[in-house]
Amino acid sequence: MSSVSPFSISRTFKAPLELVYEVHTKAEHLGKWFGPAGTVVKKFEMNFFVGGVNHYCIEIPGGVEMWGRQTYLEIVPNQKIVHVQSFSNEAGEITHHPMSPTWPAKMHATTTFEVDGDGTKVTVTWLPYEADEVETATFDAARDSMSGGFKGMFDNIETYLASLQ
Amino acid sequence: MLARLSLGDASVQELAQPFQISMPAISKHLKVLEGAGLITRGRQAQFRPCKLQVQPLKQAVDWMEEHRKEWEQRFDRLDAYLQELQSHVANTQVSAAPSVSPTPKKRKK
Repeated sequence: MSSVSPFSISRTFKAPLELVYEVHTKAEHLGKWFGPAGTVVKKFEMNFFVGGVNHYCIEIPGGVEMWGRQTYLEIVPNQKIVHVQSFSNEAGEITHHPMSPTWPAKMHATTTFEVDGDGTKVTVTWLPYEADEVETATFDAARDSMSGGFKGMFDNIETYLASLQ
Repeated sequence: MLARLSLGDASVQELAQPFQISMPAISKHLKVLEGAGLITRGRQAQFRPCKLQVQPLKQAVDWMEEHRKEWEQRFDRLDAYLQELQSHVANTQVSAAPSVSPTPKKRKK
């Protein structure tokens, strides 16, 4: 049972497509927005070509460093960027998620760019990549739990299960 | 299957009921879920009830939610950055160069 539906998120930006694409292709731009709120991009080594590897470090509040690694699989200018996303260490080696060890070590990430009215719509989509059955099952379970409506039960379910034992 | 288990322990037969797939396929999938630590199974020879293991699944779900939040924040920053770049281009056009480049030089604060 392999993953059929991906996990995705999209947003329309009030900016021309070429500019939105451009800020995905250079380290000087990515350093400005790639870190989520409250984080600092400490390093962003970028090699934007098919087969090229990015290695970056984001410092989250509290001083913890999170390393990541991306390898480009496909680049279609102004349309699509496909890369493999992984957790990493300082040496650039691929590592597993620190809190969820059966989470896929490699994710297939596709970023698409399309004109949307007078703005640009960006969609980021993930699927497990070269994942074994266990990693795929973990991804599917998490995605289904989020979309299937039983994630809300988590707050109560532990208490409930504990009460049964 | 996990949704069913979230309601309580169940036997393989009970889990298989809603699905149009063979028992060996069900068993194989359960083995994978067990390997992922998402479920555990009882040890009675005939009846091996499956139990949902909440913690590993919760960690995976938490991470996915975290991941979504991260991207929402990233998009917020990207949005702000794009506005900043565009206002910079506009200013440059008004004040000096006829440059229409959508990629202004890196600005020092």
